[in-house]
Amino acid sequence: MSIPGKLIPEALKTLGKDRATVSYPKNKRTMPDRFRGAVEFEPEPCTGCGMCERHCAADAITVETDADGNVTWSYDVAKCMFCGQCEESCPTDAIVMGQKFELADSEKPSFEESYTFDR
Amino acid sequence: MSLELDLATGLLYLLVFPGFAFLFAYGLTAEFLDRKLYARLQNRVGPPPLQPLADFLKLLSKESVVPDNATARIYNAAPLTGLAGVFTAMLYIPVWTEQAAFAFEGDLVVVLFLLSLPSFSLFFGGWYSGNVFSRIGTTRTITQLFGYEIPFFLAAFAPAVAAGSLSTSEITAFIGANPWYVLVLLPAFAIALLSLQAKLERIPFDIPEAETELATGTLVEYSGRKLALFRLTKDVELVVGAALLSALFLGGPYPAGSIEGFAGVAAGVVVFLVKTLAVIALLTVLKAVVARLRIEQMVSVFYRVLVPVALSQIAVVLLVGLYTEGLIP
Amino acid sequence: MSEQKAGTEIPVGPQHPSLKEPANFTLNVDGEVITGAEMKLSYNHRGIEQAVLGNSYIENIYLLERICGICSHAHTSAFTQGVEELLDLDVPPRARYIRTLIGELERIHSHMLWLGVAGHEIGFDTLWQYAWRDREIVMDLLEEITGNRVHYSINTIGGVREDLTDDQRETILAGMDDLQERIDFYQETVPNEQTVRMRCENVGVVPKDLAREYCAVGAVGRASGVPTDVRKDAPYAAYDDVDFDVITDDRGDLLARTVVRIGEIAQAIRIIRQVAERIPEGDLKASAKPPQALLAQVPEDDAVSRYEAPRGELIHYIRSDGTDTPARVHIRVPTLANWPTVVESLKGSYIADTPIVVAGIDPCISCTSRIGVETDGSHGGENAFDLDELREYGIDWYDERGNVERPSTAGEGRTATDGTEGERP
Repeated sequence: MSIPGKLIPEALKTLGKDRATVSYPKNKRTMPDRFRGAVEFEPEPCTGCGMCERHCAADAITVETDADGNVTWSYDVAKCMFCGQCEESCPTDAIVMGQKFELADSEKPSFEESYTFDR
Repeated sequence: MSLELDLATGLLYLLVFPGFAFLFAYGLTAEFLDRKLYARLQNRVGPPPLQPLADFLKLLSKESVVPDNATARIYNAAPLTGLAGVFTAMLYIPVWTEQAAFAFEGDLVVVLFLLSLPSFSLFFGGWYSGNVFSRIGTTRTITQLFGYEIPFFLAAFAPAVAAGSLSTSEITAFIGANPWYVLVLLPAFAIALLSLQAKLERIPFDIPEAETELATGTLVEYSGRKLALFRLTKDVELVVGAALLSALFLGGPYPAGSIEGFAGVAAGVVVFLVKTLAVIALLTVLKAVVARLRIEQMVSVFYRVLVPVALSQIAVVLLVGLYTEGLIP
Repeated sequence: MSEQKAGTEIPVGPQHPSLKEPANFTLNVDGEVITGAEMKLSYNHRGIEQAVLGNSYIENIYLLERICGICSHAHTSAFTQGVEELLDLDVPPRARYIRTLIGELERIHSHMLWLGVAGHEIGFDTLWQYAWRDREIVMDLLEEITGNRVHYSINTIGGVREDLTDDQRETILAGMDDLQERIDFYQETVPNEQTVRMRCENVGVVPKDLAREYCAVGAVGRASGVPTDVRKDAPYAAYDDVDFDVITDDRGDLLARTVVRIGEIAQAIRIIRQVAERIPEGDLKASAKPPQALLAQVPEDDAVSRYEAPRGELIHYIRSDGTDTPARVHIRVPTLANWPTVVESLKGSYIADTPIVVAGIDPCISCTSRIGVETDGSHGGENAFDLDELREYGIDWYDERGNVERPSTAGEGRTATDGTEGERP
């Protein structure tokens, strides 16, 4: 039987260390380049092919084309699970995963985003 | 001294210092320092200074539920008995001079008894709250009580044997007069520290409340005011236990105790704070570096290791006493 | 309190502070010693196997990734490997290496997480805080490489989605140096700390023959001396190109599992260093076709895919019917294979050991919830329901419950157990 307390040197050394926790809203870290935040959409290159809707596992994206050829692209960030498949599937780079991650809101409509454009 | 003045100082001792008000404030401060140091040892931030007070006040404002299965009268009375016990115990422990607020020959036994009261209040509160987890916690509390009380008593009697008195104040005065006894009593001090840790149910001896096993065990049904009182009892018990250890093994207010007048009182209080906080810091570091034991391991450690050490400590104290008296060469 | 069996019955769970997820153990105890244990699972059935059938293979990668927040890469790898087998795709070596890299980083963070949880279960909160702090090294690396701390989403059918840059290789190697130092510290202190030994030595012992009989997988099996490791037995990804040892121990107790898991972290660091140094140049995907074109080619077939997840062998079975959605996906998670050993090793141990024995297999309880099977024989002696019986049972149960007089919620002083126990038949 050995004397307990193998951690004592480490624990005392830790006293001198900076705390591991970061004060969050004060010190924001920069997200890495590849970080997948909320989807950013650019209507200009969009062809309305609907591949993003088809590959969206969370049904966060819908693409509708009406009789006049107007495309409505809508996105619900509350449903999105940030996998980035839409960016991957988009043939024209209209969709990019952004860096925004502080997405909480108390108003439901603020999660929804919609673009209507002519193709 | 007139009767009125006597009564007034008595009330002052009881209500302000070192009684209720001081213990309340110092208990919460000690909890803060304990939590802060524990957090820093774990590389965390820890709570802000007023957090224990905020917790206490918040609990006071919450509903205090009595379960259907509980025996209401005992369930309600339990938190008060423990708190009353530890508050009373402090009056017999020297704080700023070598003389406690109240003292008589044999008060050490009373202090030890009063310090057991919180465990019994936990026992009654837990047993009569009618929950299976609190019952297991209760049986563990009692098993643990049998485990640590004997080593704690033996360790506390070592300085008593050295001083030849069962009065806490006289023991403090004796250690203050013969400071090298601190070294002789070091093993007893270590045993008393471990026993105090077990009494306070802190890691590695937090077996009765074991959060991950019993969901705080005995206290599982308690809420609101009564829980706040139990937590306050723990804080005050921590302070009183540290004060007792400092009085018995570290010479209490020595070397400040002999200074006369107001400066002496102030210096005595400072020394008291330094010594009790040192004891609390030791308990906190112990809490941070070990895992929780099982109940039967705890009892076996206390009986197989600490009791023999405590007994031989008393023998050593006796031999040292005989040697200083010149009875043996 | 029920006293039909010897001693007391203690319910542990479904909600219990030592269980991070819902599971129920009914322990028969005699004093502090457990004389019998029963287990009920599947409180968290999410119907993932059914949900998979309504989604295309591409969507299912992300759906299956969310089975588990800790071994997310394990599930996507197992699934994509299965689909690649169906499609007969050859994953390029660079993609294989990246999969290996992420898999090993994931193994490190899973084992570090376990080390912390195990520390917490035995009341060693400082170890918990240290382990989780050091785990952040790996989490940050994962976020930098893949873009997310938890759901990496790096696998796709036929390869990986993100490349590994030279800068990232440097960061990984630097991170591994830091981590190596920490792991050396854990290897030195944790198994030698006396209080940890007291709590873990000879606790929750699974002897070798029991481990074989109950088909224990992963670290549980290896700690009992059964050297199963899919990475060695049936190498996938780049595991046949890298050197590593399968860590085994023959004691079978919790201490052995701790030693094995910390040893596996050290081996994972070794693998990651090799991958970062030797990763070959080349494509990331087997085919340049868009995903939808690949989906159109899935033939009618089935495939079994095995993967060594941090918790043990993970099996995905995929049956395709020629459309772009699977016809059946079955998932056997490692925790399911390890549960029986828990029930066996609980018997005869102390109540105080329950949390650590349960946590000792590193259970992922929600991942295990595939199907609910009632086996206590309380519904007429049968061991399992068929669908009609289940319907009938459900209707009866609700009928009976409907007859119970509901306590009124209006007025009067509330007490804790008001109407929540006792009345139910």
